[in-house]
Amino acid sequence: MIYLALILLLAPLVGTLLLLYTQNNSKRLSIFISNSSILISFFASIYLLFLYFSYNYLPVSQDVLVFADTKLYSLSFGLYIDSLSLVMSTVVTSVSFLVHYYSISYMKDESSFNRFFIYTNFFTFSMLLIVLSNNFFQLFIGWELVGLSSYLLIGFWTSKESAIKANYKAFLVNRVGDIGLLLGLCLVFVTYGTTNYTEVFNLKDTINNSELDIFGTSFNLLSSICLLLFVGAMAKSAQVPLHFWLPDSMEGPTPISALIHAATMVTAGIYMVARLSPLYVLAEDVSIFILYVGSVTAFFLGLVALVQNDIKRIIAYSTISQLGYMTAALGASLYSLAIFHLITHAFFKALLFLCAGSIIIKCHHEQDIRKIGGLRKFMPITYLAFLYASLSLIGFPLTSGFYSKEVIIDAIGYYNHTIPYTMLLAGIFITTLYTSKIFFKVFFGECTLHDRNEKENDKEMLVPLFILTAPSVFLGLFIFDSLLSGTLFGASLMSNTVVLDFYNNYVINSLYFFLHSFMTINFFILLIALIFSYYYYYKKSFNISIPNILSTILKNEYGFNNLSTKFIPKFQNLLTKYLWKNIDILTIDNGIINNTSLMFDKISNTVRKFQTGYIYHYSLTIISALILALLIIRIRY
Amino acid sequence: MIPISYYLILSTIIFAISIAGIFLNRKNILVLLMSLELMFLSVNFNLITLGNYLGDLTGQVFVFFVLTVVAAESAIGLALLIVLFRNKKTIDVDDLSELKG
Repeated sequence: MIYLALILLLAPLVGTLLLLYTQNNSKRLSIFISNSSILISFFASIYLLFLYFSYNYLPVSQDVLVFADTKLYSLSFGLYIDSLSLVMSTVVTSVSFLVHYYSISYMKDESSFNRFFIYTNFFTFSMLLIVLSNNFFQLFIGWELVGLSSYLLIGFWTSKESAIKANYKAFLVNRVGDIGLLLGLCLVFVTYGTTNYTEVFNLKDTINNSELDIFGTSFNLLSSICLLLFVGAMAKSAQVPLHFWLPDSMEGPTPISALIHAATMVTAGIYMVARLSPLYVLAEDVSIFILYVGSVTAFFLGLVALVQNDIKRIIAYSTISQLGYMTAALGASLYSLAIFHLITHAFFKALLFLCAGSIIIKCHHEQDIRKIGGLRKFMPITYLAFLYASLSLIGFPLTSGFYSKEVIIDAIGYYNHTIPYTMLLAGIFITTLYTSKIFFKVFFGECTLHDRNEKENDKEMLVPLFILTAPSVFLGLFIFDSLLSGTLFGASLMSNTVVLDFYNNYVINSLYFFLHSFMTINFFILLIALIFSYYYYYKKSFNISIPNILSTILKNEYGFNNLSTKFIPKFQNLLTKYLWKNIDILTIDNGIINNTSLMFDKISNTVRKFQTGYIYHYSLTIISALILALLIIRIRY
Repeated sequence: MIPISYYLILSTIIFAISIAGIFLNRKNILVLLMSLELMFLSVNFNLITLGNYLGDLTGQVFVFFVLTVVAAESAIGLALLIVLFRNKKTIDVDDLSELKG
């Protein structure tokens, strides 16, 4: 089993190395290597998942390789195999494989075609490293590698200036989160003396109530650890206020957006919190914070999507908003529901992005939805796939998105978190609006294609759309009951009782939940939003003018863009100028270094005068010193 | 019988003269060498006097060794002086301050 897991983890890495070695060879070879390595990894994870459930294995945590082993601590490379990591790696590898397959056609005209696959393979490997890791140290390495490969991929088109700026931004914002993660990791290491998950989880109760002193103020140790680690998750999973790198990451190729948004990057933060759920369950104050961060993100950044016009940016904001739902679920200690939404979201968001990619290719890299229209007749497959993905995104009954999202909202309502509940409910309305905005503008209205006789797209681009439609629509129903009743994740996620209680009292089973949902306020909101957007975006029967102030605020994305493009650079400029002038030049250069040499110069100038070069001076000195010494000896003894 | 203090005073006077010769001499490097010889002489004189006074032959024997060394040393000194004169065309002490810092 451990060997199979190693194959699962290392296949993309081996693929990367082979691709590096053969990068000057033909495209066919690199297509073969990259796709087959991910496929191997996918089959390995499917097989492992099958083995795990059919033989009822217990979670395994095993060290494979030891980096450093001292008496005080040991750093090792290990694998943690349980249902959570296996389900997650299956999602990662399957989406990753479909994206790879899709990219064959999408990237076929690129000059640096082979480089693309090196990066994507490496990206998948780094994500799997996070997913399968059994210690914090390895988590951190994977975390950084994911950051690195996303940086490389967002800036894949190196000649495009906006792409370079975007990848810089993504990297820097993630760095802010990394500081949090690193501090949290150090705190874990200092307090528990180990980095292994299982050992930390076993020790957590003993250290639960200890305090941490920082500058005279004391904090709860466990809460500080959770909070710091969550800062890392906030940057990776694009939560307020560290979200603003994600819309800009749309500068990369579209398959990469699908990969980042669905499988490999933004899910890392959610996964980490779920993985560390035994710690987060105990830190109740941090959980409340997480809940509010999540719901604020879900609501306010959904609003921003309404005023965007770039198709990819809208979907990006929708990702942030959906991640907000997951984070809110984490905050309410509904870890399995967060993972549930993560899984379904991975599929339908990948599908949405691949559809968007297909549309963009068809429209010759036009991304502004005001300039695209009437594609329904020319791209029937993309149209249908997009329709299903959108239905899933807005949570239309029976789709995957319905099950995963409604259940989060209802559970948060069930546990009486009123403010987050309201925000998440309003989120449904907004989600429906922006989704229908894309849908109606792109597929209906006047056709903007110049050549109307073209075929839709290559086979390679359409097959993944077909395949992804299935989980986007049906997966939710399929795993709903086993997931909520706790049989799917079992002991790997904490606080089963919270979910189970909700399940037994409110949900009962998937069919009942489905029927019940028609009577809830969620469905009512959804219906109103659908009718509203039908008349507003499709029929255009009325016009709403948004107040100017509101739209400016939304267009500026709450000032986060200005913050990152104007204020922070300005502040940084001032700070660095101050440091340069006062610290570097005045203190270090002139103060320490130049003053030292000046002092030596002065001393030696004085001292050299003693060396006159005249013999009689020397001899006078010698003899007078001798006399002095004799006198001293005479007096003392 | 001449008292021992007379001898010692004589030797001190010779020593003082030689030191004055070294310190106050600003002209000639030959004078410097001569003063050096004088200094050795005064020290030798001391050795002989005290050796005789204490009835110890060692002091008087030691003088022979000192004289030998002094002879050798002055030979080297004079040789150096000749070489110096060849190069510098001067034996003026004030001009010889090459090692001035």
